[in-house]
Amino acid sequence: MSETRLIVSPAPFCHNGNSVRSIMLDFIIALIPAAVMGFVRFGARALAVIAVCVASAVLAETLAQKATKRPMTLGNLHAVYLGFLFAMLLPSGVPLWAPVVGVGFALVVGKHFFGGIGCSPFHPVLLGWVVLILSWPTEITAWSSPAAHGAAQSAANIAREAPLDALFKYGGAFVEKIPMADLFWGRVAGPIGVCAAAVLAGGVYLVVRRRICLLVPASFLAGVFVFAAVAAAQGFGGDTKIASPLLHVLAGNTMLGAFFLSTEYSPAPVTTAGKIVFGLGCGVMVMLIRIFGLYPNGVPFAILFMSLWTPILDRVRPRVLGVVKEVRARA
Amino acid sequence: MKKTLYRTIGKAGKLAQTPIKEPETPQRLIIPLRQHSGPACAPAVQKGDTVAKGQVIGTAGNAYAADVFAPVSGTVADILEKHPTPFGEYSPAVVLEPGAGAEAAPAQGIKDFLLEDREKLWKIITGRGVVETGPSARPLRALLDPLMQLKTYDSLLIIGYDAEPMVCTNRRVASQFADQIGWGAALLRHLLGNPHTTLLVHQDDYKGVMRKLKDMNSIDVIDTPPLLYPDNLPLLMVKRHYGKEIPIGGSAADAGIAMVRAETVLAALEAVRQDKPLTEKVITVTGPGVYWPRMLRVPLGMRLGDVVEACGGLRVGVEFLVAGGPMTGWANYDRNAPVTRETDAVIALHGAASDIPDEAPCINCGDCVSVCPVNLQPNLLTRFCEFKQYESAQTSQGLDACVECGMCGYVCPARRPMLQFIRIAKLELKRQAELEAALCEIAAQDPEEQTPEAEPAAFKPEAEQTADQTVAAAEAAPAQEAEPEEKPAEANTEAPAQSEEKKTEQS
Repeated sequence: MSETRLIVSPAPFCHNGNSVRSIMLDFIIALIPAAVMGFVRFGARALAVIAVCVASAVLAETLAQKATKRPMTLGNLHAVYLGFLFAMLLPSGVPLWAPVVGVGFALVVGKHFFGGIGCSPFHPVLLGWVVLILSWPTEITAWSSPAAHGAAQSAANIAREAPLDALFKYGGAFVEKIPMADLFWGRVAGPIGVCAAAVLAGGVYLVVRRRICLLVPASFLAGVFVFAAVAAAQGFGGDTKIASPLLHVLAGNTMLGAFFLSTEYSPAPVTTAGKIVFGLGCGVMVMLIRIFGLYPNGVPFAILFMSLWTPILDRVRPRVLGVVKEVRARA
Repeated sequence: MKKTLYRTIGKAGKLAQTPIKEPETPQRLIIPLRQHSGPACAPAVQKGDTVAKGQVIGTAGNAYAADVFAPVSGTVADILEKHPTPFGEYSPAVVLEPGAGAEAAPAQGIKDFLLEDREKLWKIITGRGVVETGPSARPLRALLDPLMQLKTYDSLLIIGYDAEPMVCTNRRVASQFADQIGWGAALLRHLLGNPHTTLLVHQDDYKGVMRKLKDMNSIDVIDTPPLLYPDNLPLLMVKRHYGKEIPIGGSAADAGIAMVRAETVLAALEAVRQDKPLTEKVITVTGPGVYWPRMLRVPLGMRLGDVVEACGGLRVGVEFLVAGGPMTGWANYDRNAPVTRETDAVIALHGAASDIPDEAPCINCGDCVSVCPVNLQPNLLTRFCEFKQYESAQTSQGLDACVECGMCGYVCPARRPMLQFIRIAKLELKRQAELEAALCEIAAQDPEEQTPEAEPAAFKPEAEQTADQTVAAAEAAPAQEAEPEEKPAEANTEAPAQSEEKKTEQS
């Protein structure tokens, strides 16, 4: 009989079409507005940093998987995404060896030492970034000034200093002069992913495409905003630390942290309650570090800190249907 | 995420409006002797016998088994020790070649069944092999009246729709035979002590069913809210409708609700009123791989190959022949696997629509957690199952609470075979429990034969031997193997008993 051979595979026999590759592609697409704004603000040098980051991510993943003789997973684009995301945290004027070191550490140690995609307990990008900031703090925080300044740029040193650095060094009164629109559109000194509007657009894209759950970024931003408002009202950390809650939401990496850094799948909780607590905890930790800590930004450390809690937060789960009844029946 | 489900695989909509057809009787029927939750029937005929339509060809061994009947008159061409069922198992089977057969006994239906004794009616229903049609295939009495004490219920819920996409078997039965469902409901009400009766039908069929049932005041017809799979699973509808949760491993009966599918109601009514044994099954034959999607009422034992031929055959390049719905069904490698009482649908799919999953690690995206209808964490659960930590999966991840809806596998971007991991874990735990029970029986039976000193040496090989026997027994009569749903503890006690018998024979 010329009938075709039948194939046996486990159920279900249909699929919603998502794949790791399609998800990672969406994350990359979501970062493109921020990259474009980085180019607009800081020029071609920003693109060079992005290219070096992505290239070293691909190279690091290839080497790690060749060395350990594991199957190659470059095709799922996770490494490309991690490299791309790493660039968003760096100043455009960073010496080009720095991203190679940082991304290499992120991919090899942060991702593959723990078993590859889905296994890392911390965001690999944040681990790589922490290595850089602890080893070469000056190079990593030498924020570039935007090439094209708005007319609203008031003081020359504000242009040189990132808003949060300025707040850290000179106090709240100093940063009051920065218009919120400048922060929103990224007309301030900062990393390549400085433009809050572009990052927000990418984040909205991810939420709309259901790649990330709105709960984490929403509770993250709510945590930052509410804690900053309370801190401003109560005068936490002394009068010099008081700044508008909106500045805390828009400046630094807050937006990037809320939509990209805290939503990496493996270090974040999967339950609804866990996500809310995780996001709120990140937001509050960001503000604690900014007000009482040694670092002006604090977003990476806050997310790393909250990732420690993920295994516990994942245990905050809704009741499984049918469980309670059985216990009652036995008793 | 859930909304894309229908878009990917198509709705049953149009097919549910087409009348059920009866195909030509095929050349050959292969009737499995195990089409129920319990052990396989013993063949009641021999090779070469002529049988009449409705004659018993397999005799049930216990209350979880149901007699098997000849769907048509004909000759027994062969009795097979082992034939594939559409659900990845094997069962002994009777091969029947339709033709002139023995004369059938005249049917003795009971028209005024509401005046009859309940015990007598139950006997007829059991004797006519009425089981819950569909994956559980538990005999109706064992389902609704497990202790055989004429249990009474407060509520009777008739499921007149199908949860899974593409399947519309019960939906079609409920709308086409609505008046008979009404009478069947009356019969069940009589049997179960006049419970409050609800018929759940698909929202599109509501008006038609109401028109046919307008004289039946004792039955509430309710259209299902427009829920998508898996929120429309009957177990979850019980919670929505009655506010009662079904305990883990239990059935709706444990929550005090008699839940029956529409097709089963029809079978019970035909058994009592027309003295007709359960020898036919309504199936949905559909999928992009079949030329004419149809609703068919086929004799049990019709081969899947014949079924798709009755629907115009398979399209070129079709590689998946699925028995059951697209979410929880089983792919078949053999076109000779017959339609059984468990088979709700036959679905033909192209390879592209349902490719074989590559082995990929979980990326912890959490999609499965958000779609799980019973609030499990399938990402962790299947990791336990993958690494064979079945007991941890059971105790810390609630393996038993899983209703096997298949949604976790449907959404998994890493294409992990989630449902398969879970099914394997359940099967392994069941085997382990059987093995332990068998060992306990041995230890309890002859403690004197083994002196304490000799025990470690003598006991161990024997234990292994018994393990082999148990597995062999389970394969010969796959009563306990790969059940689509959990069975109560009573059904599991056969394996030890069988291995006991073998052991005594040997000694």
